[in-house]
Amino acid sequence: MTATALALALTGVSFIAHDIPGLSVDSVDPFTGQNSGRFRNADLDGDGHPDLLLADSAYRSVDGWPDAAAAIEMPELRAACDVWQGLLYCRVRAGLDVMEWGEGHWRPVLTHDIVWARWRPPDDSGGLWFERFLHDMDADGVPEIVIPAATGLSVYVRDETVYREAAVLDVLPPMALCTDGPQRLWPADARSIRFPSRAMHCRLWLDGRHVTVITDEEGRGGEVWHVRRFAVDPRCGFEMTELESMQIALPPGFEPCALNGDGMVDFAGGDWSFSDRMPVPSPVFETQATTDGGRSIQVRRSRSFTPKCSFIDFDGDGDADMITESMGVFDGGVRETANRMLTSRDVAHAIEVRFQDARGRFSEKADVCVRVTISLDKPLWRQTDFGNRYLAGELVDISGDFNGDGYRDLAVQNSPNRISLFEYAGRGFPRQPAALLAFDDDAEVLVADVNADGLSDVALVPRDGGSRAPSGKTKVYFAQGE
Amino acid sequence: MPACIQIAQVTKTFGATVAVSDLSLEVETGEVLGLLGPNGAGKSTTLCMLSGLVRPTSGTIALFGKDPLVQFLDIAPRMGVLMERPAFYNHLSVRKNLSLLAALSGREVTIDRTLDLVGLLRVASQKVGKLSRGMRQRVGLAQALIGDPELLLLDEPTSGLDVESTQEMLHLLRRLADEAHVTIVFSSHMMHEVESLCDRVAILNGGRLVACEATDDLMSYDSSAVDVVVEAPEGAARRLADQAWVESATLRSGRIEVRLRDGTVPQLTAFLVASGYKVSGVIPKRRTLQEYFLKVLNV
Amino acid sequence: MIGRIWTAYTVELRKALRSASTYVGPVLVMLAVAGALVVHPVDRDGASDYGFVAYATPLALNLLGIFMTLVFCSGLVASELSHGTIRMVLVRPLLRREFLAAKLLLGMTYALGLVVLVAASAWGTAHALGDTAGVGYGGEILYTTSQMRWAYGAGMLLSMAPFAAAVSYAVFISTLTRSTGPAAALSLGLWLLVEGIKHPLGIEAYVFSTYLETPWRVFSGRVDLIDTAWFPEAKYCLGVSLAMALTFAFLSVYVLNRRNLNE
Repeated sequence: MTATALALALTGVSFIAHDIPGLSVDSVDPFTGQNSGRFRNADLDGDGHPDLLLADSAYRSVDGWPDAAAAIEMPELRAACDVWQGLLYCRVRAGLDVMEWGEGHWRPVLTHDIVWARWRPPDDSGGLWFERFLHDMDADGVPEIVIPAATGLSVYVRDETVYREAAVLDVLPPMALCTDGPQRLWPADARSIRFPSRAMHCRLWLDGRHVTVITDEEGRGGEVWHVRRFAVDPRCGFEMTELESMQIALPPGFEPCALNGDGMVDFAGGDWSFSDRMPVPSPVFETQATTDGGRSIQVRRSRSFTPKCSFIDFDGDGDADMITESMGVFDGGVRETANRMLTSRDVAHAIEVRFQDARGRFSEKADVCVRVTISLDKPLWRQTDFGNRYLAGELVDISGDFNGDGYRDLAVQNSPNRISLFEYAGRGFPRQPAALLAFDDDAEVLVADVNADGLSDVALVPRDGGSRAPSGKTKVYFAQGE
Repeated sequence: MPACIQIAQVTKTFGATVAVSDLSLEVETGEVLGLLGPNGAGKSTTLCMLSGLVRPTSGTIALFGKDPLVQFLDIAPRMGVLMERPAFYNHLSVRKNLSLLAALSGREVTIDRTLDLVGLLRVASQKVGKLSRGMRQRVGLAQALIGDPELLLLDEPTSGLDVESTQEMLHLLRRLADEAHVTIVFSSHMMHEVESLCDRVAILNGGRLVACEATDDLMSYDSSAVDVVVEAPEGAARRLADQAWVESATLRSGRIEVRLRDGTVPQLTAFLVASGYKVSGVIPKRRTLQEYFLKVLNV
Repeated sequence: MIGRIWTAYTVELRKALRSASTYVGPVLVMLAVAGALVVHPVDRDGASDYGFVAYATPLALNLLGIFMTLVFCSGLVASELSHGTIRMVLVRPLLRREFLAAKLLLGMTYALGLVVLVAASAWGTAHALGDTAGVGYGGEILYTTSQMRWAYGAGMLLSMAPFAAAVSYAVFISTLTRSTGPAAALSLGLWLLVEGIKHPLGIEAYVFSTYLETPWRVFSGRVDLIDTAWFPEAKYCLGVSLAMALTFAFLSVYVLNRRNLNE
């Protein structure tokens, strides 16, 4: 991607652009609005500014921004990494290396052999990869290493100089037979019975001293979710107490998540289907959520395909709010829809926010509604890459907070070469954007706080034939606030 | 009392074509005015301007003392118009067409009375599209007569009618003028129709009014033209032709048509007698409208 | 004036009701509703069949009905000009603008007739062959029968605005031409041209045909269980449509007033 790009601050937030080679940012989680980016932030050099760690390099912050010129080579290890208060923890195949950066090189802080309950690289590419295995379960400031393995959650606690396995929390569900395809009971060349493999699928949440284990199985007309919640006492040998166990039957398409802070597991999901009320296919997306353990399901429908993010804490009150989008191209009847798809390059798009109240109910009607116009490069029927990205919901992102006021702001890639940023203004979004970011080549736009300063940044990841792999330098517009 | 129709210096142009040029004319109440002229003289255009279908380019028109462009609603109920080639709703019957037009006129009209007046009672239920041209022309007159108008504007009303129907229509129009004092402006190519019906004749040519006279006046006896009946007319004609005071002496059908240059009829008679010719009769010639028309147009 | 316009309108109505061509449009839209039944079958399966109504109504009205309205109204003045009957009419005590008002009223009557026919056909079919109870989801009634009927009825009412603009536009085209064929061709051709360029030129917000389907958004949205608001789209629909209707009406009066009717 060429370096030509322009950030124009119009009314509020300003940006400063830096190339960050090798940075790739995943899209937001549809239920939390968070990026599970392939990077970490940690103050390696102790200057008070978080530095940016990538798998193969790190960039120290200079004046608050990760500087590609101040790059640090990451350790040449094949290891799973996590960071904790400026220290880099690397789990190699049969050992642990804890390092800190100082005086221009990595210095070992703690190195010893250890047998891990599970160590499996994600691919064969070599080098480091990031995992989250550090949790301070006993709140003593020193993280424990928690690794899920076949036998349970292995907890490694630090003694004076080494980490040792302190407990295996037996929280995992039993293995179950997989339903493989039909098989020969008596193969012609051997008298043997091949049994199907066994597998165990579950979701684990570790939140301080609480472990939640969620499994699901097919039920009648949907799925049955089993939720077990345990409290772990690190001071008593990690003794476990089961706090609750419940079964929740839900229609298909739900995923467990945390939509508020009541400690109860929530479920949310969404899927789109074509409406049959029109000769021209018109999508209807159904956003669903249950915040009361499945007793009631809240559904909101909107005229769109899958939005980028369906739930996010929009107003910073700790509860996730529901986000729905409406694609104006499908608004109206068959004639106008067909006409828009054939001739129109400007498409109207609406984003609606429904706040969650204290009872876990989402508003019936939208509390915030913002309408934007997206200028496609060609009408939709031409099926250009940009048009397809619009239909896939990639052009609108409401997960960022660019001015740090606690409210989410809106980033819209409203043409192949421009992003408009709208700041939430208390009762709605103004018509005029607060900032415009223009660039030469088409790029994927992702919102994430890259420098961990509490302000969301905008990353332009150059596109390489539709692949998410960075084909060049990622340019990040770091929000500077107002 | 002002004239029923007052046309003052009216001009109408259609693009570069001048259809009517500086026309001034008045028609008194109860008068029957004939409009004559070659094709393209401006007769139909004049009638269209009178009936409000065409707006004059300049000049003023007043019907019953009112401007048809401004006070059309006051004039229309008192006016009946028959344009050339009248058009009707062919899918509707005669009675239906007339009743719809009567409704637009805002009049409670007995359609059958009007149909009887024009001799169409027997075809009242037939669709207009199936009628002959002559019948349609009668329907056209019938719609013009709806509401007993005080003024009739008729553009070639006898077009397509047979001889008998023509006579009936002319008779009807004359009766309307005489008994109901209906003012009639009537354009036609048929000289004998205009002669028999009209009180006055206006001749248009090239959009201009070239003559306007009372019918009686322009068809009076011509003192300079006589037909002479004599024995041996051939010799008498030759003798007369040699006389300086005779413009022409033409033998036709056994009579000598004599046009005197500056002589008189007594002088003619005396000459023939003195020449030994036995004069059986000297018949003064009456001018025809056609002669007058052609003379005015310099044809 | 009102009396004359009303009289002229009743005359126009009586003429139109006796003309076979008047019934082509109504027959076609009813056939369109019947055709929708083939693609979108209706049966008594316990689920409400408002989807069929939402499918058939825009299909019949906004694809076919609008065309028939344009064709019908394009001939209202042009046919009188070509046949010469306009001269018979305009020598009566009837002003040209009153004559046009009567034509516009006839066009609106035609459009209203199409809307009512489509509504009756679609609802009648859904009621006779399927179910028209409330719209429910997950065992809960989200929209009652009454709410659905109100939404549809309001849609019918609102749809008269863009149809008024269409009628006015077609009558205006009718005043420009001398016969029905060219008038219909011009009104349809021009309309299709504008349809094709309005989005690329960014003028769709000012074209009345953009709002032909706006009246049915709420009903269709409820069928899809989407809570759709009337405003602001209904405001734009009313505003643009009525503005265009008035504009074309005034243009029609202007053209006809200056037209020479000598042949």
